[in-house]
Amino acid sequence: MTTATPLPELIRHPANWRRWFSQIFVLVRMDLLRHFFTRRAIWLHLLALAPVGITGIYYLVQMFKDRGGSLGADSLAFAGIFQILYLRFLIFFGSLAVGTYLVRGEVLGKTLHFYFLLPLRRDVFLLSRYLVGVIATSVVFIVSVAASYFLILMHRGSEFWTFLFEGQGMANLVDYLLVTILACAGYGAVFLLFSLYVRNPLIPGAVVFVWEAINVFLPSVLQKISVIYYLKSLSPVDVPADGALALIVVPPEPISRAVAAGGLLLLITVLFVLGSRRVQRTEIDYTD
Amino acid sequence: MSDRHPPAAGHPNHDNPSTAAALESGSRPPVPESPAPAVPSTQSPVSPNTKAIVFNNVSRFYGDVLGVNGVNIVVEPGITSLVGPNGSGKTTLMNMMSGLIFPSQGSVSVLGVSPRDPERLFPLLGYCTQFDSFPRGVTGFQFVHTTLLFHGLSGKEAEERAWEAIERVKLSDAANRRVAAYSKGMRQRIKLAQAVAHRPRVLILDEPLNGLDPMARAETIALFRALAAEGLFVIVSSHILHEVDLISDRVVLINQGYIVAEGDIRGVRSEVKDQPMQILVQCDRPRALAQELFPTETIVEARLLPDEIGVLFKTTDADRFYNAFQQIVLATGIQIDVVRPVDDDADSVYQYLIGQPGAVS
Amino acid sequence: MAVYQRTYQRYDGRMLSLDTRLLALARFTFEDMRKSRILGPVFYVGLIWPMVSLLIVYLHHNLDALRMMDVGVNQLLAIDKRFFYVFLSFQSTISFFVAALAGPGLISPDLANGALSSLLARPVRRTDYVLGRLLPLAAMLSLITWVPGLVIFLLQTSLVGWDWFTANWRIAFGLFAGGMLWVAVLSLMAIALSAWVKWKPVAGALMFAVFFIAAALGEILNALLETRWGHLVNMRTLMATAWAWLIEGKATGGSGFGLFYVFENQEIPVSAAFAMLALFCLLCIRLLAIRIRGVEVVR
Repeated sequence: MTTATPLPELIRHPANWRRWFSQIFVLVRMDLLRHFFTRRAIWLHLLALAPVGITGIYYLVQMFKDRGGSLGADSLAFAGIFQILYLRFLIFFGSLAVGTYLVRGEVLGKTLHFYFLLPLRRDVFLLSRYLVGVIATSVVFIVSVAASYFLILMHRGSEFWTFLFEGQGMANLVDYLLVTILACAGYGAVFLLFSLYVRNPLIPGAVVFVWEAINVFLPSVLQKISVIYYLKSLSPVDVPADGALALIVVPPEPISRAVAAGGLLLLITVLFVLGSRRVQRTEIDYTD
Repeated sequence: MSDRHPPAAGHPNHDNPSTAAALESGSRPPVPESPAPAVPSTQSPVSPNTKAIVFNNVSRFYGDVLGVNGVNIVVEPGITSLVGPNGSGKTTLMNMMSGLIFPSQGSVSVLGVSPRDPERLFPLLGYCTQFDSFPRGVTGFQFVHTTLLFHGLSGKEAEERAWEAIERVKLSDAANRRVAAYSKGMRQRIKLAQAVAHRPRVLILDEPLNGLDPMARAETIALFRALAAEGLFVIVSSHILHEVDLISDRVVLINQGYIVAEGDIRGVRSEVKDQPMQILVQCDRPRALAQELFPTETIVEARLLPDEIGVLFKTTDADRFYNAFQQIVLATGIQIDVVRPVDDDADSVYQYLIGQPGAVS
Repeated sequence: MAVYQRTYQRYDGRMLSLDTRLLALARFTFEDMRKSRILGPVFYVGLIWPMVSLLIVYLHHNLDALRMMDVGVNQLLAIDKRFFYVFLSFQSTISFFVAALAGPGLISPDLANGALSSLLARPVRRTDYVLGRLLPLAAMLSLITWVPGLVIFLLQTSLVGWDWFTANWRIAFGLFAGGMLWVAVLSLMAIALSAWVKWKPVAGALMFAVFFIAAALGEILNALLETRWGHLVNMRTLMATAWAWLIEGKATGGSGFGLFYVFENQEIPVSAAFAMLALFCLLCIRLLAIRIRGVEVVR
């Protein structure tokens, strides 16, 4: 009896790569439409739209009743919203729900066996699901972040547009969007891996939430095993804070953005490799 | 995905004589196999048995419960039925063949391929599972078509093969409707279409006749026979024992995780020595026939049927019985209408070996 | 087929009225809740503070016991409106966790297993189904909120006298009405989320999301607009405002305890708080009406 051909042997052949990419494309296209841009995903959209609603109200109030302030103050306000609300809560919980649903949802719906009965490597399947999750959350939250950014600053009129196209505005916006994508990718990988081991997503959610909350108190080595450690260093605008707020938004040991991005991608890769090993051993069991 | 439609007349598929003939007869036109994963030329896997499905001392535990125990069987081409009561291990064996679960001990090989290698296995294998759930929102066509895309077929070829499979199970009219709106029988048929669409060499069917009306059952059985005649391995589990009789070349009887017997029904029956064979003879002089046979010591019991239209013999040695029977008939000129064994079917073998009433679903 | 024995007879005994049949469902729901390994201990934890409170009330009126423990009366918590307000806040916090544990299992499993159509095929109305699922949860939450609160109030009354009752009747009213309001809001939220999400853990997580993320969004709105109307989406502030009015007759800054607290200069009108709570309950009922159906139409 043959055993499965080892992956290092397979990756040497371009034909295999073409087939894997083709399969990934088919899976991503099929699942993206089916799962995350339908009525069932409405809660994800509501979650992402909530800050847009708030910043929209702020915009309207500012338009009709100018409360003063400055572009700088608004930028800092958005930075605070992004770092605290988006990174710590919305993207975190959105990725938790999406990431844990990607495989567990198929188990719940008793449809996982369809994927395991295809001529499809299980790690390719896992990668496809991961990409579906990252794309779904990234698209939704990118739109939300961009909309919030504009709504919070746009009432400044020409000052804002000058800042956007001739100043740091566009660069900051692009950075925020990239950090959003990395956050979705990072948290998505964490929760996808957890979902392969644990049935109840509240457990990994609580564990990771607490782990990230106490990240600043951990030894340096352990700090690097968290998504928020890298995301803090990637934010384009520093939020001036003290006391408890500083623990949340200020990076304990600032690292360069290239190192932060590279570190996060390395963490994602490690998590994915662990997930691949796990999914190879996964059996179909639809009992509760 | 947009709705699709079956290829109309004039379509190359229908105009190809061999393909058209194949569609008409229900048999498979010759097609190239799906591309297997490329492996380096230095590595040529050695497969001890590429012509059979082999279970080598396979056991499977579910916690403390033994699902199957020490299974050693070799499945040959043709229709093999797995027969056993609920919870006996039939689905466990099927799931192990397809890699959905793994043995706790031992190994499984499907035509020399490990079930842990899906890229090599599933071009060869199609599995119609017992699960009655489907990906959300798909139509019947999409369900079959998308599966084919994973086999490396082009969109056009996948579409043609999908329609071919759907037509084979007589679901063309409903193919563009959502599977969620299908009746149970239709869902069963679309699963069957998906299992056969990529033209596998091994077809595993877990209670495939569930939910089918009598006409659909007959058509499906005919499909299995056609596939088996082409050299496929068709492995079926069923509780409907008279249908097991109709379709199976071989049976594997399984009870509480143990293989109780395997082989063709008559061969298995002949091995069950502790249960005399029952042979029904309808003739014009049943009493006389019984009187002549008793002295030959080939029968242990003879029972006259009501209205004396025949007699039911029980014998422990069928060969000697038939020899003696022939001689007596030739000598006495008794007019014989019917001679047939009445307990060499699946139901009887099931009752003798497993000891529960058959045909329970 | 000929029918010749005719021995089959339908049941013709006493039938329960339609209105009480929901209790059968409630019984089974309660049995399911009892099987939870976490819910029981959390529920019993919720009874600790009522026991301690009863003890405090008793000690207030037992000088001998105080002398034995060498504790002065003024060292104990005073039995006043604040005492009961703290009691209600604390118990409501625990009841939130009980609801988050018990609520998701009320309807989610029926949806996930396709049992809804089977249950609603019985002579049971949709309202009966919802009430049958909701009553055990509401009863459990009541047992750790207003019920022990009233017991403590009655004990205090029995030890002090009727005059104390007439002077502080509003506390009892506040405990009962405030507790019932909280139980209603929490139960409806739990069951509505359970009806919308097939996966139990996600339904539980959504309860936390509704509570804490909505509150965070409200705080951000307040910070951005320098207003206090963001508290209208903050369930904790809404309940604190309602309780303060029910128990004390007015809702001012500094009311409340723990999670349920109204900060100084952050008060919202009492009518607005009640209106939002009513709106929230109506929204939950609407979600249930949409979701609890015996059939699923597939187009």
